[in-house]
Amino acid sequence: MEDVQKIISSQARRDFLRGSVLGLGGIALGSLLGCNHRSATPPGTGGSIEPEAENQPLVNPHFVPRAKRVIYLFQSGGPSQMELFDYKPKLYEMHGQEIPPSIIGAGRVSGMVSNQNSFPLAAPMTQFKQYGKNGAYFSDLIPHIAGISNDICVVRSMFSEQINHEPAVIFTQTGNQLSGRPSIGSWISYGLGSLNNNLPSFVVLLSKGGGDQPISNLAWSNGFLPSHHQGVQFMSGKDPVLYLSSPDGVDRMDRRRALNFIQKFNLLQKDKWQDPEIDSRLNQYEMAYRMQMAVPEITDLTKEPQHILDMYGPDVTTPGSYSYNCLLARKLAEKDVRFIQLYHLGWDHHGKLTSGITRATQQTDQASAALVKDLKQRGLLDDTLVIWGGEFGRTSFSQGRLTREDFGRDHLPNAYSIWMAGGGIKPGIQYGETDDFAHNVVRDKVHVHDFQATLLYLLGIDHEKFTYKSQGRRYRLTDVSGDVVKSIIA
Amino acid sequence: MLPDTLDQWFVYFGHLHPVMVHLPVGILVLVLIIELAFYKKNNGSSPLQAVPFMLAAGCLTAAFSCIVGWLLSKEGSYDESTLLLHQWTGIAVALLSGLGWWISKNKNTYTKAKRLYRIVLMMLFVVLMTAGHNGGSLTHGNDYLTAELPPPLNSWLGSGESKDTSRFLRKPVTDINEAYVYADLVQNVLGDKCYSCHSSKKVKGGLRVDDEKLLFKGGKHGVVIEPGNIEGSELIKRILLPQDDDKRMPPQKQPPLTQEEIALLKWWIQNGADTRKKVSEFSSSSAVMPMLAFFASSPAEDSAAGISPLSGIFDTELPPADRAAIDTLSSLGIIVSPVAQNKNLLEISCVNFPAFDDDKMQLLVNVSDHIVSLKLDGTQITDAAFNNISRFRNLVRLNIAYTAVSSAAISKLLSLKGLEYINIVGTKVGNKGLLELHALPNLKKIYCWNSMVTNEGLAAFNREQIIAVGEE
Repeated sequence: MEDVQKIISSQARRDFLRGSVLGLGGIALGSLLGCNHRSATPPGTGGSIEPEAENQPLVNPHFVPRAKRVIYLFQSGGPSQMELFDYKPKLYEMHGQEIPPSIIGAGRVSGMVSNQNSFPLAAPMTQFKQYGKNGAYFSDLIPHIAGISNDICVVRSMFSEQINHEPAVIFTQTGNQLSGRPSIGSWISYGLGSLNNNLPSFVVLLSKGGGDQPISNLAWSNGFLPSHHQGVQFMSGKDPVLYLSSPDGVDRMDRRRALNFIQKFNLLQKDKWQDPEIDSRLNQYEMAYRMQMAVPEITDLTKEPQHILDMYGPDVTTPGSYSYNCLLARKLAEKDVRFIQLYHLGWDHHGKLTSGITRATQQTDQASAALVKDLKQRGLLDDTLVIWGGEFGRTSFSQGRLTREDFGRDHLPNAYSIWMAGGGIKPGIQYGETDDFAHNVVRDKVHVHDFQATLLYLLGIDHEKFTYKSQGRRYRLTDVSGDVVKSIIA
Repeated sequence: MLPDTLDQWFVYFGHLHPVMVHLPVGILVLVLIIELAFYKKNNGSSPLQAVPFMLAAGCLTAAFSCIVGWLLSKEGSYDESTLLLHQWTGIAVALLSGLGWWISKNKNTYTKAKRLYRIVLMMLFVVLMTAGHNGGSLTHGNDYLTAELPPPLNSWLGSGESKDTSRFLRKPVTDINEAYVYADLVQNVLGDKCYSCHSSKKVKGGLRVDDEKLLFKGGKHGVVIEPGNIEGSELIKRILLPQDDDKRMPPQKQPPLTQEEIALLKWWIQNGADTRKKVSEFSSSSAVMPMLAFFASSPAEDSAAGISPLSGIFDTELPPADRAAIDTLSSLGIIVSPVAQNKNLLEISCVNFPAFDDDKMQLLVNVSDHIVSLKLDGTQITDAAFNNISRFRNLVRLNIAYTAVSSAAISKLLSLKGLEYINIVGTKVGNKGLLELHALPNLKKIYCWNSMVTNEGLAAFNREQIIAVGEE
């Protein structure tokens, strides 16, 4: 009997609560939904996306752009600047001597060398020669890139704030060391949209056979932007985009009918929840459907003539190799994919640098140069910005023991080199300068945010006006800093 | 010593005004409610006993509010016209409630002047609301009530745009050296930071800065600009006062002038506050450079940084292209996009419509003036497509790679004076066609790889300033 009483009383309480929730809650909900159809984000969808009225894509650039597309050849791991682009004769002279303490100063060294009590300078394992009209020095490791020196702008004065891979990669790719912000490609995809309705505007290509440092897919994350702006990863192998092709025996028309039916459900749900993520999902379904036609054509390299394949090097026929991906990048650029992001791992040479960097350059040198040449002969380099660079540089002193055979170099955020070509970048120039030990920038510093601001500028975007409001704050790719490096713009 | 202390007392009492005003408002509104509620029951003789007392209380508190209000009005910079209206409606409230009290205080007068009493109360209601509303506008700003109207009401009241009208839009400056210092620069700064209180919209302190004559005439405290004398110019003095000074302009809650803007005003006054001279006619000063750089729209700034300007065609002002024509193109899968924000020039791409052929070219003629970039690579076009090409007078970039176009088509392109980029990769255009391109005055880049153009043809072409990329 008591139990029954309990149930009755609890029911009464429940009724009361329900009544008050429906009553007061209704009023509260009314204010949440508001007259302008603003809705609360339903629970369980990540909750990070608010349909802020001010969050409107640019659609058209702020001003007339110089570049329409970007191919970003990300060299993950931290390529050594003094083995590639930053010629420092002093290092050969002072091989084995301690790096002057004034050069390191109060600067940060990583935990990997902080208990090292000797910092012997290591001469670059290679020789340099002058190339091109401006007589720029390039290492013997990269003869092909040296061969296009008249077309590229080498920035030797990059610096970052991060000393470890993951935060430094995320910083370079999203403008913030902590993951969670949109990557450059997502910002561009969101801001400017697609130039080709049948292909995603942000494609990611991950090359195989690099090294052991993994790369997290947060580097091509959409962050708080609608999720159809995240990078679409093309895999190597039979199915470049997973689950894209219809199962055997399923007709394309059947696919269409199924999609139409699913779309109806999604639209019903959208009416109910007003969740912008449903739009994203719809976009992705439709994009996938159109990609079923467009992607096989692009990934089919059988129609490429032999002399083109030869340009990219012997690996080009191996799906997933850096060369293969470079050729794919050209084909995607030809089809007006807005942002093509390549990642090559294997630049993290803490030890056995000689063999490590030889391998990395053999994998990447020829294809990187071939891509620029190929784009140029097709008239695409004019409005395609090609970027080659990693997340930081390496130290001129040896990590671990400096032996006659080999040595290693540790991470160095203070100074590193990248190069860019096309898309409104001045060809055939060197920008910035480091000290005799390639350890600190002494002239024309370029911060990661400056680089990002310049990239956006070339695409016709004012980085200070390109914002997205999320969780009460307006965000920029360049966070709160960054100046366009106008001196490198043609 | 004495006047100072007195002043302080005045200020103190002045600040009581916002506290005081709510008393008469509350009391008198209650009177009106009582009178309404008991309208029927009470039509016999006099009003409820409490009413005369309340009217008296309302009258006294209103009068006191008027006095402290007057003290308050002496210190602040309020919008003159609203202030005047507020002042007199406030006084009217005191007078009308006094009159009401006098009528209602004894049976005799009330029965004689019942109708007058009711009229007085109605008038009291009107002036009370007006005074209250104006008081609110004075302290919170004119659009306080309407600013946050929810959209349906907002559009119904037709005030959808009201929030933005007070925002001053900078006039663009094309060539900084040819810009008029006063009209193009000084007025831009004043417009941004001062118009909201000192223009035709509002005239605080009797000063208007949106009109040359009135600006030099000054405000109620006298002239604000002394040509050639920065220290003597009240305008500059006020701007430079510490932020918490009551006389500082713009007042605390308004966005202050930046250092660069102040430098510009100083520079202008230093140079005699001339209103007719151009930037190039003023003596240059390093302090003002940042501001000049800011005004110089990006092209000037870019060329200073060594960036080559884009084709002048991108600055062409055109009315928007025909919507229906664009929709027709889009429906075919042709991508039509404006070249940038606030530009009506168009880029056309057939990347999703490889079936584009000579007949479809006719569709582009409807937007021919607007096209700056035409991407037709890999389409079905032939030489015949270019019969109408001369009408594409603003074309800067033409990509006809991998089409059946031959040298014969090139002669038809020669009227495109603005053409800077042509891509004939993989076409049948040969050396003859390449040579004809010589006639295009602004051509900068030719891409003819994989076409019929040979190395000999390229060598024969050889013109400076043109980068031709082809067979190697």
